[in-house]
Amino acid sequence: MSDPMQDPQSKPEPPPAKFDRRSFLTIAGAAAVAGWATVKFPKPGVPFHRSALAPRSSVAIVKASNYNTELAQRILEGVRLCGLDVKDKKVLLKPNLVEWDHATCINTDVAVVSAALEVFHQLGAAEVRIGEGPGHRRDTYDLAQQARYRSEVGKFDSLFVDLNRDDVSKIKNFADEPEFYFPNSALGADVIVSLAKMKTHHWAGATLSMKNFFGLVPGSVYGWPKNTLHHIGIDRSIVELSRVFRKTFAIVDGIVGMEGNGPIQGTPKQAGVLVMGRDLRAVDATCCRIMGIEPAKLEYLATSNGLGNFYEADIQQRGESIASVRTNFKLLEKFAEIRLG
Amino acid sequence: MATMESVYLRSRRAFLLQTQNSDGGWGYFPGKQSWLEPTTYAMLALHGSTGSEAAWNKALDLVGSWQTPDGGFRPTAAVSTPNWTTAFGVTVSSIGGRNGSAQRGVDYLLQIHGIEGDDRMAKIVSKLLPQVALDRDPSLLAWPWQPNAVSWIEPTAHAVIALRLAAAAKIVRPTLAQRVDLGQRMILSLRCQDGGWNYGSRSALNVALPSYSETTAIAMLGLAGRPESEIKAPLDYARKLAATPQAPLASAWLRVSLALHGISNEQDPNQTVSEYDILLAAVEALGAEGGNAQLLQPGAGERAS
Repeated sequence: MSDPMQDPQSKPEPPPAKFDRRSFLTIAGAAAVAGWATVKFPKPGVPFHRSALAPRSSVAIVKASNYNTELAQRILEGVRLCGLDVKDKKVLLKPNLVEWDHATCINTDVAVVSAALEVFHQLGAAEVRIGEGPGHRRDTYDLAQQARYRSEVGKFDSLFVDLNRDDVSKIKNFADEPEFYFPNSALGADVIVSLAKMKTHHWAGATLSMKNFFGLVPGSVYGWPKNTLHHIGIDRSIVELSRVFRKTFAIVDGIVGMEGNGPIQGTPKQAGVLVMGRDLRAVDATCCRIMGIEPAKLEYLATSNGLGNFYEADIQQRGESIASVRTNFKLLEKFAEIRLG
Repeated sequence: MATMESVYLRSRRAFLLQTQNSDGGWGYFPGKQSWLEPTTYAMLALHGSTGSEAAWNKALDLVGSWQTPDGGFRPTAAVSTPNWTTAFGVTVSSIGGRNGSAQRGVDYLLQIHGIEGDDRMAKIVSKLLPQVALDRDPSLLAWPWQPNAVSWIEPTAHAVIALRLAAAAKIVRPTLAQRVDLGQRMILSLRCQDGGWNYGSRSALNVALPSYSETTAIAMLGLAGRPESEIKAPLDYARKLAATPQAPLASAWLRVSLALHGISNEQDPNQTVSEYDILLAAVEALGAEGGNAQLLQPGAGERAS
């Protein structure tokens, strides 16, 4: 029996074709121009692939009421509940560092980044680095400064790699692209830890551990914004990135997330949780349920078959129950349909 | 050539000479793969300075080796297809007198534009998505980061600079001046409410988006040569930004931009050179007092070659 999280040969089923490629590019391009994208809800009753033979995925929900809590201890607890072994491995922590706005909470909090750094060192990782390639901003170090990463993470500059300007290598067949380039620091990591932020997203519905991998696409090749991903399609890009990067772990910062017009212009939402797991699809589905979002209504989750588990029955919930921490995140009106009943 | 080289400028140029890779280029960071963007800025910063000639020529040879048969330039040896950095290849080829290479690069740039300017696509978009209020005027042909994509501010600014330098190097193409004009008008059309530019979206879901200092500076580089009436307000805004604390890269680009528009902006003479960021050091040197910001002015290529 193969473990879908460990088998790099397992291939996702392609997303349903809605347009030919040319039309799709046109629409996506126009959407990007207008700062607008289609909201496509999977049709009710679409028979999602159920990985009946695959093992259940462990997802840990750990309560943390604020960033002053002993976060390292909480993260360590979650990592152990999920059975992750990083001894002698090269770990890349990938926070969600997007923009800076003091009035809201766009980025993974620095306390979570610091705590994760401590935990993975404690667990015997051979190397722990922090890497990010923001989608809009050229000056990653400035963003890191504003988000207090440089001041509060010890030796930050020597640990950090700007994934937008890292050395790159080619992979073959990414979406419809015959070749695609990724940072060597990401391709060479034994484990990439998606340190995501729990946020709603005005195009994708929610942005969690899988969408966070947009920051692995190098701006030096694809630009700022990384419009190529919009042309491929946001949902499809999320799926494709998860297909390329399989040796992963997720820690979603939902201590204070973002609701409403996320991922940048929304408002803070206290959820008081960290959600962790090796199966990013299962982690994101769990986060959705906590946020009051029906995961089956998010196209990237509905179409990422073969990349992990999705149904509640296929996910072994560790730590807190979903019901005990569920708190509905406000949704834009156009996303009313994705509200979990 | 700078005759009164300050400590600030000298330290940055020395750092650039020390960090040149053996292939002749510069990486974004010391010891890393050579890329066309930091290589171009390092070349601009070093141009004409004492003891840099061999380094400059070696870099120019490397850039030339990255030109593809279609005239574009690869952004780095590891990437096989040209992209937005083609503009840099044209810029240094024009300044370095490699007119054959520059001409092929110009032809590549002139056949690229954002897909929003494609008539057939525009019709399909308006038919399928009549409710979408497009932010762009599709007649203002500009440049994308990658071929077959939407155009954005920064690649447009770089392309405009490159084409103007190519024209100054006596490269003649019938549509060159028109594309420069359209590109500059595209930049002007996408100015944010706050007075500057971000990557090229003024709003999202009817909420105004803020500008970024570094992109504002780069946009202003692309607007050099426009009538004063068109650029006075954004120039005032850039000057205001430069007078307030900024991140190092934004500050450096603002200084280049203001210098290009004839406005001096004092740098902190005691600010030490960044040891981790070659692009930053190069842009700081370019915008420094006595630096080469004026190389990006029309006519500079002619003078240099």
